[in-house]
Amino acid sequence: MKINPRLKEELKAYLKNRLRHDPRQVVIVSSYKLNGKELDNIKNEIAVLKNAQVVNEVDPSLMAGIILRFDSKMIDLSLGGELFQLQKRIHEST
Amino acid sequence: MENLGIDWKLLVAQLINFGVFFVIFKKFVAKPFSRFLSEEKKHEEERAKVMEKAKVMEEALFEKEREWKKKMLRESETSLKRAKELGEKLKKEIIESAHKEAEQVLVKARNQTEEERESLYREVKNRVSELSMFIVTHALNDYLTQEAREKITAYILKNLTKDLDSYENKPTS
Repeated sequence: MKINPRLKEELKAYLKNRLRHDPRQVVIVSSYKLNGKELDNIKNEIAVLKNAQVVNEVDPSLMAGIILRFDSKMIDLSLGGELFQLQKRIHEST
Repeated sequence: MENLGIDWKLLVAQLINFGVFFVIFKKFVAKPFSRFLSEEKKHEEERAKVMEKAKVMEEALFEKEREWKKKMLRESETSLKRAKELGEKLKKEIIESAHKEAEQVLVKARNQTEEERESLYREVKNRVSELSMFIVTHALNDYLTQEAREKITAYILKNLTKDLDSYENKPTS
């Protein structure tokens, strides 16, 4: 299906505008509810969280550490994730 | 002469009789008879020749038959010998082929056993690692207090040594 090129360009411009003006939403998944101080510490350590709208979700299966979700990316800094990576490495080594 | 009892008339008549008889005999009996005898002799000779020929032919036939029998015997011996050799050759080939097949089956079985052993080994290792992870995960979930979780989270954030992108999109459990 061929999209009208003018429509395509207008859609691109609209999305760029939205990205520029709308604040980025970042979801922080943690194993417990983070307090304000901890959220500020996290924002200071990770540059992508500056000027972003932060939402905290709780997932006890992480054990410790956090997972960041923004745009189409997911950054895993959790203990559960590390254990999973270890298991994967052991599998690959067999 | 009459005193001797010889009758001249009778004698002459006898002589004439004899002469006539002789002529008639010679003309009508002797000649055909001798002709008959010579013909019989000729026939006899021809029969003897034919018998001789037949005998010769019979001998020749006997000779041919003997030679033919000898030839057949030789050929049958040759055929039998060849058949034996062929049979031996086939027997050897079959045995060799069977040995080769047996070896191939053995090699295949060994390889299969080896592969299964490797597969089993890998599976056991995977199961052990899964079980270990399960135990560790559950132990940590039970052991980690709130304080410990906070400390670990702070430690992880403090020690981010690599670029954030290197942690990107790694799936969690």
